[in-house]
Amino acid sequence: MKRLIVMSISLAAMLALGGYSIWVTNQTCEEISSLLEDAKDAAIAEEYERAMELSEALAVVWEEKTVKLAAFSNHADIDKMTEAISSLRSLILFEEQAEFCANIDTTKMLMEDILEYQIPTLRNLL
Amino acid sequence: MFIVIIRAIILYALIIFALRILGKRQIGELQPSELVTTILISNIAAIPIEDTNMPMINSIAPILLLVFLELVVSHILLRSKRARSIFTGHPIVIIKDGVLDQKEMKKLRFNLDDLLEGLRTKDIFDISDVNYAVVETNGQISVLLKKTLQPLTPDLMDIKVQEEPMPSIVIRDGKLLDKNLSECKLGKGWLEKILQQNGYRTEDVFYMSADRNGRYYIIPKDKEESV
Repeated sequence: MKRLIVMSISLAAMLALGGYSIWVTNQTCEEISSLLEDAKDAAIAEEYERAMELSEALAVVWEEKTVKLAAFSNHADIDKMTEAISSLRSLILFEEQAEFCANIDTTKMLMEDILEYQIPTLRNLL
Repeated sequence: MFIVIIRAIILYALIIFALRILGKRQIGELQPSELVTTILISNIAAIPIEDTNMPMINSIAPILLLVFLELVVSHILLRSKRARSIFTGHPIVIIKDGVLDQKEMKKLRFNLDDLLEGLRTKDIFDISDVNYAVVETNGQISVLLKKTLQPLTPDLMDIKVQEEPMPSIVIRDGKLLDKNLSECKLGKGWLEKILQQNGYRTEDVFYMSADRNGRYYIIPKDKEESV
């Protein structure tokens, strides 16, 4: 019975951790998506300096978030995101508006994929 | 991570079901639920070692879950006879009163070679020596020999014998095991006396056992090397 209690507590902790992982990923997704949207709007409005600032802020925020995300998400997906975010600064520096916006969309998709991977939907389960 | 947990539950149920379908012949020594847990745990544990992109937690969570499930199942099995028959099946008699039950053997998909091999592992080389043979839930065969072939015991001879205490190792590879010596209720004085009588020092002894009655057995160390 003692072992069962210990394992019940461990399982409850694991379930709580599962819930926490979804919450952390969701928060990250919201924050990153909002920054990406702002950067895209700035690029469309040809405010390249603001777009550059937002891209740099995005890189900093992402760097902070990866510490927690690495515990729950596939590391290869995180690497892909890092790659996509780091390319944004160069694109806006050379005022490649179209490619910048396309990369913003790709990065958003990658972020949503990371979140979707955590949610126990039927599609993910099968 | 919830996906990993749910997948682990589904796979656990599926493999138990599959092993029950496969039958006792495939199982070996473990009970089905134990075998499932063992297979899954070893595989799940191997994945993050192989794939460094996978977070460790995705492996830890299902392993904990499987251990939990195994414990829950064993608690249920302890209490419910019906659950026991679902999860582990029940022993099947394949030789009854010296007669081989071929129907039961077919049901178990147990062929004659399997039976003879099982009997040989019990040092029985003639099937006609067997009075009862039972295939246990873990796939092993238990055998009851015909009365005339059973080993002679003091009970059969109506001889009264005293129970003997279990011997404990008191010296292993030249090292004295104090705890075992005190469990035998024999002091260091006794040990020194015995060693002196036999012309050994503690470090010369490879193995020494003793029991509460003071009976002992000594294997000295080879002079050149020790294991």
